[in-house]
Amino acid sequence: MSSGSPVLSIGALEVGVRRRRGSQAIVRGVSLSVAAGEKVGIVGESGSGKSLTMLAVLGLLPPGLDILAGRVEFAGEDLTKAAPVRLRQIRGAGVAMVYQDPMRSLNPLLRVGYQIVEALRAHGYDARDARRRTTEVLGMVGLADVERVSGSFPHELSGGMLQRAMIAMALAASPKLLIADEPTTALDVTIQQQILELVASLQAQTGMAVVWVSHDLGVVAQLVDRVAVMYAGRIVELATTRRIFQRPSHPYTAALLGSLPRPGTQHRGTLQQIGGRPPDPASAEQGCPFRPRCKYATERCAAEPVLSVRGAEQQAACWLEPGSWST
Amino acid sequence: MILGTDQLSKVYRGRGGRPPVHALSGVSIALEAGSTLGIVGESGCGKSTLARLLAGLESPTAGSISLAGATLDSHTSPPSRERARLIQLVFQDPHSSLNPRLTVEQAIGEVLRVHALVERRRVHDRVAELLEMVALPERFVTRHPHELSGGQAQRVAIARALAAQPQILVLDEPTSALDVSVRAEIMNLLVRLQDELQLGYVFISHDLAMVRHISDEIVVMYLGKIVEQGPYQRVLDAPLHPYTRALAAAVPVADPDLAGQPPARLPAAQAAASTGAAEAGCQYEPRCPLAEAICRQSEPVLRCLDGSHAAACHVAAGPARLTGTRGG
Ligand SMILES: Nc1ncnc2c1ncn2[C@@H]1O[C@H](COP(=O)(O)OP(=O)(O)OP(=O)(O)O)[C@@H](O)[C@H]1O
Ligand SMILES: Nc1ncnc2c1ncn2[C@@H]1O[C@H](COP(=O)(O)OP(=O)(O)OP(=O)(O)O)[C@@H](O)[C@H]1O
Ligand code: SF4
Ligand code: SF4
Ligand SMILES: [Mg+2]
Ligand SMILES: [Mg+2]
Repeated sequence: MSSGSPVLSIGALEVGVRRRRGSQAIVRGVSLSVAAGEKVGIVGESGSGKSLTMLAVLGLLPPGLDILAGRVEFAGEDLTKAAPVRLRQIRGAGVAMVYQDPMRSLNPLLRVGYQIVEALRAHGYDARDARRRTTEVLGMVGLADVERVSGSFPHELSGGMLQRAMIAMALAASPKLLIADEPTTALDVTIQQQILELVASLQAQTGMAVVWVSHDLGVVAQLVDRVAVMYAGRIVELATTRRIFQRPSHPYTAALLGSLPRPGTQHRGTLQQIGGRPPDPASAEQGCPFRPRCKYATERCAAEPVLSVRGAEQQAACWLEPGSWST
Repeated sequence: MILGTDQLSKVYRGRGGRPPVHALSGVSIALEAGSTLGIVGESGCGKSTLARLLAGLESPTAGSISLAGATLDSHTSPPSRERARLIQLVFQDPHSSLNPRLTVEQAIGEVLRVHALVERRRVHDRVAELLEMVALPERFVTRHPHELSGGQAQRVAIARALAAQPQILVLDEPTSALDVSVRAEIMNLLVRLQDELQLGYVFISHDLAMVRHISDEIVVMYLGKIVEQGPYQRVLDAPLHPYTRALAAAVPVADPDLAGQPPARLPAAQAAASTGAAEAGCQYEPRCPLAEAICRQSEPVLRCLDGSHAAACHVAAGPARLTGTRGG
């Protein structure tokens, strides 16, 4: 499945607050490779470190947070050592990101079309081609009134229109790697479907690799080849999409699947929650981070399990023997 | 009726010679205390515009809003402090609704102070209590918005809205930034708070499962107009309008084995139609599989079919099935 040299390779990445004595990690030892043409999903509870991991890849961590250890390679180049100028170049040409926070992608004071045109011109398009491409990509994401959208300021667009404009901007320069952080949360299912098909077809045409961050397992199931499940700043399970759905190997993954809305839930009745609270990824608790909420926990879980092989295309970080528990 | 609108409309001026945008046209809704009105419809159909008008952030071009029986003067801006307290809005994008310079405690404390809801020395405790309600630990009080994940920021926004002790919450995609587990937690919280405090909710979402779960009544909008409304089971299980039918049929599948079969897709909207400019005929006609000749000639009005279930469609709610008309 993931053949060839990786486009993106993250190795033992630690992100957190750097302190003179004892830095505090939030993202803890994340390793992930994405091959050309591959689509990888990252799922996990709110606050599990999905966005910080991706922002670290692009050198865009918020103030106060740093990469504490580990490496991030894009097409063989170590980005943790790259100069800011070089990072900007790469963010333009090689890697495109759709941010979870729309105001990170778009300047509120400039018209949407102008911003896409300018981004393209920075990648070497001449003015006319840039305008043509802008119209083309805005149409591709299913915006009906391209001209109006293009001439509007961000606040004049609805949430879903804005989200599609951001996706269009990210796809405009045909990046080698698309990182999309919750890119379809404001879209209804029919439009979401259209975006997923668009990404899949571009990916087939240009060999673009995709990292799709989402809490929506339904969306992830339709789009990606492999899924990384994050919990408390760690990857706790990594497997093909099929394996994740058919045979989750980590109790947290199983719980996540279990909290998908089911048909037949009573109107206004209690929806199933995982129960308990996710730990603060920065907490100094020892042992398996899922332990306080895990119904299979034993004494052994007082030590933290590492990600280990569970089958041909599956890894999980849990002490349980494969097949010794059922969901 | 605690909150109502009568023929509410909002037109945004067009830019650079382009036609104006009819974001909302003649929308009449009614919300009862302690109940939920769900609002669904395609991206750009005017849901957030309605939310902003209800919360008094913008004034309508035409029509009126009434709160607890009294018609609000839509031309006082800013709206009266009491109205601003009674109707709270929770936005789609949590980061844009929180002031980046304020800590969580300052943001929530500000609301408590402006409306003089607790004594100064009780502010910290009340903030912690509100955070507990939305499942955030007390230590978050010192965080700034950029130190919160998307889901955490949305929970702070909900806590801030609750701080005002409102009668009505207008929730614009409140759960779309949340993962399934937290979403379940927030939905359970909203149901509980509604029962305890008799809050009225206007619940806007494209997540039909969530809308169905919490709504008593559902309004379906298309290009700025109501095309169907009624009790939730009727609208979602026995939809009348072809648009609602298409919407209800497009349920996502969380199973990779079925992922190859995409849900039914609506034909793309026509460019001209997306501005909602008033033209003769039904606005849905260019995409409608049931369209007949009459659909191009006259615009269907919202008609009541059995009981309180209404639709605006010549075919589904044609004269043959007409049992009454609905004003608002
Ligand atoms: N600047 C910061 N300083 C300290 N902690 C931070 C900062 N930014 C984020 N965090 C914390 O780091 C954790 C991970 O945040 P992140 O935004 O990566 O979560 P996420 O998995 O993307 O969640 P969501 O699904 O809600 O977007 C959260 O607990 C958050 O509160
Ligand atoms: N300030 C504004 N100026 C001009 N047009 C606007 C303005 N605000 C909204 N619009 C337009 O009004 C229409 C309705 O927008 P609205 O945000 O209400 O849609 P929505 O139903 O909330 O969509 P979504 O599901 O994508 O959030 C859109 O076509 C939008 O571009
Ligand atoms: S290691 Fe133990 S606590 Fe952690 S998930 Fe596995 S069984 Fe549960
Ligand atoms: S009025 Fe005609 S075009 Fe409009 S929705 Fe009904 S059948 Fe379709
Ligand atoms: Mg995030
Ligand atoms: Mg909206």
